[in-house]
Amino acid sequence: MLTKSIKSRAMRDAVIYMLITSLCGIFSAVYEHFSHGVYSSYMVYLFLFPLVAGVLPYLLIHLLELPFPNRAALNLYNSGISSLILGSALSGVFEIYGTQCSLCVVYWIIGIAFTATGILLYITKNLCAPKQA
Amino acid sequence: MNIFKKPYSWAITFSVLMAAFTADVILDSFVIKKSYQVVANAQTLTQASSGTATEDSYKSDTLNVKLNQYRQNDTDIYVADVTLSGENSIKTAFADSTYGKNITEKTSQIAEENNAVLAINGDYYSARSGYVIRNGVLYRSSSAGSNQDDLVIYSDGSFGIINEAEVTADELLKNGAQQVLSFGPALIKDGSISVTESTEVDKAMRSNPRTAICITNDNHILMVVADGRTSKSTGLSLYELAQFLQTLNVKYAYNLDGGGSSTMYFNGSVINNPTTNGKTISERKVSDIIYVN
Repeated sequence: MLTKSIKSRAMRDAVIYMLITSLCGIFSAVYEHFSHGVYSSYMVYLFLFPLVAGVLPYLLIHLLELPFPNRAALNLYNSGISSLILGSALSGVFEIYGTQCSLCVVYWIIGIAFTATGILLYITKNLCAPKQA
Repeated sequence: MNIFKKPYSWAITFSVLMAAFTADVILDSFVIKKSYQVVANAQTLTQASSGTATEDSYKSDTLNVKLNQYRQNDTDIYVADVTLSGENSIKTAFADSTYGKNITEKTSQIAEENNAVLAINGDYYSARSGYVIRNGVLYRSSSAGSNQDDLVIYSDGSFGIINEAEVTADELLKNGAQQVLSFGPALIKDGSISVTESTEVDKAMRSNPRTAICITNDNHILMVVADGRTSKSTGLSLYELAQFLQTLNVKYAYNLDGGGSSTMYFNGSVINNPTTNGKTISERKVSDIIYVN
């Protein structure tokens, strides 16, 4: 019962990240279409953040039947990924406009810090923690 | 901490904070006007020469302008051939006569405020990093690094191309720089094309409206604007623009802010067809212009 619940939650989150990946892809394609041939790697590869850091980890949890992350790890990890997606989208917008954004570094710092902390919490609290009887 | 344990409290709090921060970043970058310095000596630069104007020319004691229109690569190209004499020189002006951020006006507005006979849009300094020296005054000395080549117009009227990693803004000023424009790239150096077919501004990989300023081998100034993004004109790539300019006996040519910003003003009218979407012909507001009067 517990395994089934974990698998379904992981699968649900993987599906949500698939939707986010699609939305990012559509947003990038539309934005690039109207940018008169000005390309930005941040915009073109925007979809990779939810795909690599969202769909794949949750699919792995689902397929390998790994423990589902605790709430704190989940919150930090998802917030980190959303910060990275937002930072990449904004960096792309600024790059295509032809300007710089000094404050965009905040998204990367928060994104990396939260994602790393979330992973660390998952490893220490879920993967390495002694299993309950 | 409770906020981490409740299913949605963290998500809502984080989302609100991120939304507020993002709104601040966008407003700060594109909307909120910041005035750093009002140009006190604007009036001293705006003495218009009294001359004779026709539809495509202007002639005074110190200024001679001849407008020519070309058609190349399915694009209308407007070339103003400028000859300056005496104390007259190329001038620049900020929108609202103010050095700042997000302070913009149409090229034609800035031109009229400064009694310009001929004007083109500048480098849109406020959206970019790099040196800003205008009319012999240093406004920004922070370097944009080795990727930034600037056009320097010296007090004797000569042109030069410098890299911001190799010389400081203070050194340029000491060497007699009157105008430093930091957009680029340089299209022609010493008569040779200095861009390749794959060289583009900010990865703009196709034809667009363009603005350039050049000096010929016989010391004429050419101000050049190419239409684009319209059904009549597709626009030019940087290489196509450089190829065209080379046919005009150009010694140095430098690319300025293009796209919807590309505008040429002459004798009270906008000469080209500035557009951003190919549907409506309208001027975009810019932060600065280059002009003569």
